[in-house]
Amino acid sequence: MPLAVFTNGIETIYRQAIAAKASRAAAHASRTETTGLFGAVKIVAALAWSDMRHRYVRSLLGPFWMSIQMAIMVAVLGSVIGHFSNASAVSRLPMLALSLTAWTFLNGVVLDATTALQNSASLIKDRALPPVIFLLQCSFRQALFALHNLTVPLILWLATPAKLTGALAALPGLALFIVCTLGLSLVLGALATRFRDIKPIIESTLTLAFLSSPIIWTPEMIDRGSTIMRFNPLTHLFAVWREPLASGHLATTSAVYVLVCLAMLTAAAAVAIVHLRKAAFWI
Amino acid sequence: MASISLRNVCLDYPLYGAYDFSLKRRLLGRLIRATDETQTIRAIDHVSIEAAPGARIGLAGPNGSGKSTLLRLIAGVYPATSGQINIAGNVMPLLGLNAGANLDFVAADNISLLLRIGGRKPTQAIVDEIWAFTELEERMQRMPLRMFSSGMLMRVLFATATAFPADILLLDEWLSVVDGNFSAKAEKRLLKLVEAAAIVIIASHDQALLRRTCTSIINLDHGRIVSTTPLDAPPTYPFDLREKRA
Repeated sequence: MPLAVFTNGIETIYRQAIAAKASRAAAHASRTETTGLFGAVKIVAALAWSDMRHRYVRSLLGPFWMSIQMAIMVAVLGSVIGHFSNASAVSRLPMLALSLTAWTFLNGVVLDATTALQNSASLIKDRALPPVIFLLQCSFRQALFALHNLTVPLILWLATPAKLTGALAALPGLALFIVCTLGLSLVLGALATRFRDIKPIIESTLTLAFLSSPIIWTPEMIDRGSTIMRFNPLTHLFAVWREPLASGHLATTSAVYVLVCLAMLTAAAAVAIVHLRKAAFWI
Repeated sequence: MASISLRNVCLDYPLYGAYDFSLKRRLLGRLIRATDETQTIRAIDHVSIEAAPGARIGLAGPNGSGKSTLLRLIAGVYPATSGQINIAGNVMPLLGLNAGANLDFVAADNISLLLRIGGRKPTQAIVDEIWAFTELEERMQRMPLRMFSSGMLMRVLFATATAFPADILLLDEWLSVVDGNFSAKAEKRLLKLVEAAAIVIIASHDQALLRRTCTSIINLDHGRIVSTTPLDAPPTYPFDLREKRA
């Protein structure tokens, strides 16, 4: 069956990539940590791959259901948003699809992280796996989902006469976006497990953040002077890769803002990882 | 070289869910001047254990005496509140067989995933070997676990958990598969695993079992070591096994 061959091929590439990445990371770490870090990343990768393969067990399209959902969302939102401004709706579609994919990734990672530790209680307590594995699993799993969703913006980009020049310039910003999401999942995942009041706060904040950040709309559509928008970290987190992609250059304020956020997140994530040693008490 | 060294280890278990944490209760508590004492339980109280290769340690004691908590402490699940823990060698905690199994996945996928979680690379040969041990039909490998009876499920999980040896083996109760003739086979496999391990710690209520399999028995109560009984007689597994079944 060609499909099975394709799936196996992708799985092999995935595992090799993980192994290569892990061994490179291990090369930097000290001797005692090598097996630990290498092993942990491999376990994370295996868990995430299994999540993705089994999420749509017995379904015809499998994970590509997500791509279809994304396509429908882009089509509907695109046609609505198109009436907001006089710019061509079609030319905006690829960016809208990409923004929605990125948001789905961030939203999914953070939401999953709030329940990840409780859902894996038995593996933490009975198999003594480090809790941080299950927070990393959220990012890996959602990254795999995002790769499926990515087919939508990719097809739209090829179909519409959009410029691809900014694609390379957007990569550093995209990397920042992913690292920030990873940091968020570690910090919020630990907090939400320890303090159960955090989870409902995160849930409602995410909905609010989706509507108040320029994800389905763009800053040009509204008054540029909006204070909330300028102080909203998500605005800049999206701007660092969207602006280079659209126009090829990046506003310094956005870059500085995101780097400051990243520094704070890194510090908070370090604290969270230290406290995660006690996670078995919380679940 | 495997070794376990616990020196004066204490574990204070914080009780998060045990009392009402809500704002309402807190404000009312402030009004009626209820003292806000820290809610912890000393689950492990100044425990010292030294184990060298060859040690077979049995943990005995009533319910809630800290047997499982001590195993989890050694496995690294809980951080010690005070004291020193030094562990050398890879630890295999077999505290619950169900951990990590997903009933919606087919059996072979479950075995692969559980092996990966244990840090092993599953090959078809290893999966087949595990499957052969379960004595289940070949075609059931491609069936989801939720279609298995509880006895079949235990076979699969037991066979997977005990497929590879470890330096340090932590057992919470003797893993038993209650299923006629399979039980004897499972026990034999477990004994082989115990023999291959450098250090084994078993928590159990079954004094007779501990006497048969261990070189020393530690009696726990309220997290404290009440007494340590060294057993000189070398364990003679196969004989006892037959005797037990008779």
